[in-house]
Amino acid sequence: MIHIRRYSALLLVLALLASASLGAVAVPASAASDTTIVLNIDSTTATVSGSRVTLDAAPFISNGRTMLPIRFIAETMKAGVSYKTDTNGRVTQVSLGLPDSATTLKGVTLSLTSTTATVGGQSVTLDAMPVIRQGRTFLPIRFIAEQLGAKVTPASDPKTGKTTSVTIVLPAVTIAVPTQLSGAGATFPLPLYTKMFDVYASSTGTKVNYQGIGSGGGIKALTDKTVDFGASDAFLTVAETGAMGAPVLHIPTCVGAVVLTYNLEGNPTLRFDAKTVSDIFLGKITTWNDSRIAVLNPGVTLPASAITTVHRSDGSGTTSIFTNYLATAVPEWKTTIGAGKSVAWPTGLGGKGNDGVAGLVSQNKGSIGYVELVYAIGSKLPYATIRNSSGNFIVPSLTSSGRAAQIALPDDLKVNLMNSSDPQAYPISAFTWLLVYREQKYSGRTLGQAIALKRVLNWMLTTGQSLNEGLGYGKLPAPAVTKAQTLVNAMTYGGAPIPD
Amino acid sequence: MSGRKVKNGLMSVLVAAAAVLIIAVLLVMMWHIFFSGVRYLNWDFFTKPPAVFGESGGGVFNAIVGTVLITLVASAIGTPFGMFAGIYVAEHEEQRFASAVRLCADALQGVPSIVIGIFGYTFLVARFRSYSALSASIALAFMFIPTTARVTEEVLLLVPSSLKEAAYALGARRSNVIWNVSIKSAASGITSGLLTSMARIAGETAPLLFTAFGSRYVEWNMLRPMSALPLQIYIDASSPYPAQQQQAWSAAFVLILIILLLQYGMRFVISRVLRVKA
Repeated sequence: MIHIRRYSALLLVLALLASASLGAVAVPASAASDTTIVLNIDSTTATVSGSRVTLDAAPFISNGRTMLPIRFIAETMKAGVSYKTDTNGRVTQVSLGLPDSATTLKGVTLSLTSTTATVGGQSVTLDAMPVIRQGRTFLPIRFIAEQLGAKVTPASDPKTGKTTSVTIVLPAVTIAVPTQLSGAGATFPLPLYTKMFDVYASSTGTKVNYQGIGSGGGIKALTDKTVDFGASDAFLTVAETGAMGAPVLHIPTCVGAVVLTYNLEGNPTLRFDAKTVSDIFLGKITTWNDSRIAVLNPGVTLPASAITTVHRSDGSGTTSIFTNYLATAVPEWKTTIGAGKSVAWPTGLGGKGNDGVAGLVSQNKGSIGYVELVYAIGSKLPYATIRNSSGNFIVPSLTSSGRAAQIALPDDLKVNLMNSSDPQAYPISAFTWLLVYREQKYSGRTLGQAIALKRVLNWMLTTGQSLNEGLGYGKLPAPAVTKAQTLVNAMTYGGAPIPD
Repeated sequence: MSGRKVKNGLMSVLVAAAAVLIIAVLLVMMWHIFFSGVRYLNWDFFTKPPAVFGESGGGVFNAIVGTVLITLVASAIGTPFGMFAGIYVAEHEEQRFASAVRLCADALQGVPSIVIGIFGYTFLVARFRSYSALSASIALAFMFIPTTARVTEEVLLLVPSSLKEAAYALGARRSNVIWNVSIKSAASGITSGLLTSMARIAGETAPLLFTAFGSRYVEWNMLRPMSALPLQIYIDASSPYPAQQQQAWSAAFVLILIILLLQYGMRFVISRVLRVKA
């Protein structure tokens, strides 16, 4: 009997230990007080909760309405802002996401051409339109503040009767922003993301858990909505977009390059063009001293040995980049093999992952394969110089792959950089993307989660970019960053822009 | 020499060769893991989360915590189901439902672990929209239950019927006999069965890939993604960086150590606590 008791006691202890670790996440509930904002008309100094702040532009009165620069509104009211512009780049519409409670946003859209605004989808008529002065957008503050249930009290000079200051009392709203996010997908940027999120965690306290389960896995995880964001080396196909069920944004984070690595006596630096590479991987060039290789490499003694090609056996973003390049540059490749994460190779050996391909190449004299640049640098493999679409032979490097993105980019940034028209670009280059739903209010996601996600995306596009080159990834060029930030800003929660 | 003797000699040699081969493979494996693993072990390895890729240092504390928590919770979920199923089958052998239960346990035992993983992903992860250590524990519990049930049953069947009959003769009720006679005399066997099942699930990788997801951070909350040693080994071993590949060996060594500890060390401790031979 006593043994049974001890035995059950042991089990009980185990069960207790287990349930102790099931404890829920503690959300710190801090009782925030109301925010009092005192604005001085025609002055850039204001007071927010008793402390002096300087505005980027002074508030002014127009038609009896106090107008306030939008940046100040966004900062003090913690509102999300997004703009619609016409073809000339002029702002035509401003959307605000005002946090009217800890879990919801009130969407307010103001037009710069009419007095009709919308509040939560309902049309309302304003007596003052937003105005643009010196390139800054000013909004009628009373209307905005009242949407948040704020009290607005103007104070006027007793002599002149002119309004001199406006006091706004904003009700306290505390949004619980989680400190943990998760993402999954492409293995190619895994070292970069790991480093970025490590730095992000130590500077902000928010831990982003990224797992490299492959581009396909990341797309599946986002489709199943089990992660906050996915990651992929290839943009979504039409079928994948359909499966997502809602618009998905492609946010590029870096430019990657795929290089040709080989195993020859003395490992000379070889030069190739697209046609030669295509012929080698199609099995049309079978020996190293073939005249088509020799003509590109004067001065290099090439052996008469056979060429063994090595490709990826697993579905991979690297294969997608490499085959897309050949399909873009060589019509014959496009018609016979095509492009994709895995294709029907006519010849050669297959290796799993970058390490598998590199391993096969290093073990087989006379072999040639393709790996990510970052992998070739890390493992000190030799790699070939490739002739680009302008006829220049380009050594793969962070700079030359970054140059591939120096082209006119579409607004959605879903673009292949292979065979870039930039004369200094390395031709086998590509973006790698993070994938997020544009509308963040889905399957129980909170406003806090959406805010946390937007913050980390913006950080990766700005501060995070400084980590790229140290780890062997090409930096995003400035125009790409601007477009990507516009995409991030287009994210909504319940239809309203997400606060920063 | 007669043909019979030649045959006998030949078979003896073959049997001996098979035994030597198995022992040799085991020794080579242990020797390699020991020497590759021990070399990079240090205090940091047990107390720190992994370093970022390409940098040396760091450890697998996150994975050790994960393996311990996930295994304990899986065992806590699986033990009552497995044990009671085993007791039921052993004590009601004559019932048709009992043989159905036994058949189901055997079938469940034969389900590949990757299938258990997909099951966990579909019914737990995708349903609740989040990878979590708890879903990994539940998936592993489905591997834990059938082994526990079968071991419990087999151990209970070893209890001599004369012992039980003696108890009945003294007027004991059936529940009394089961609790105070059968289970008491089989306690050591059931314990070692539970520990073997725990050791088995601690080394599983496939169900974790779909459910626990992995994490570079030390995580104590079962409702969040968590790392585990087999996952960490998988990630480190396939990374392009030598520092991570070396850590994979050390992590493999630690995992084997934990499993051996569960199988033999814990058995020893429990036998002391229960004062029975486990």
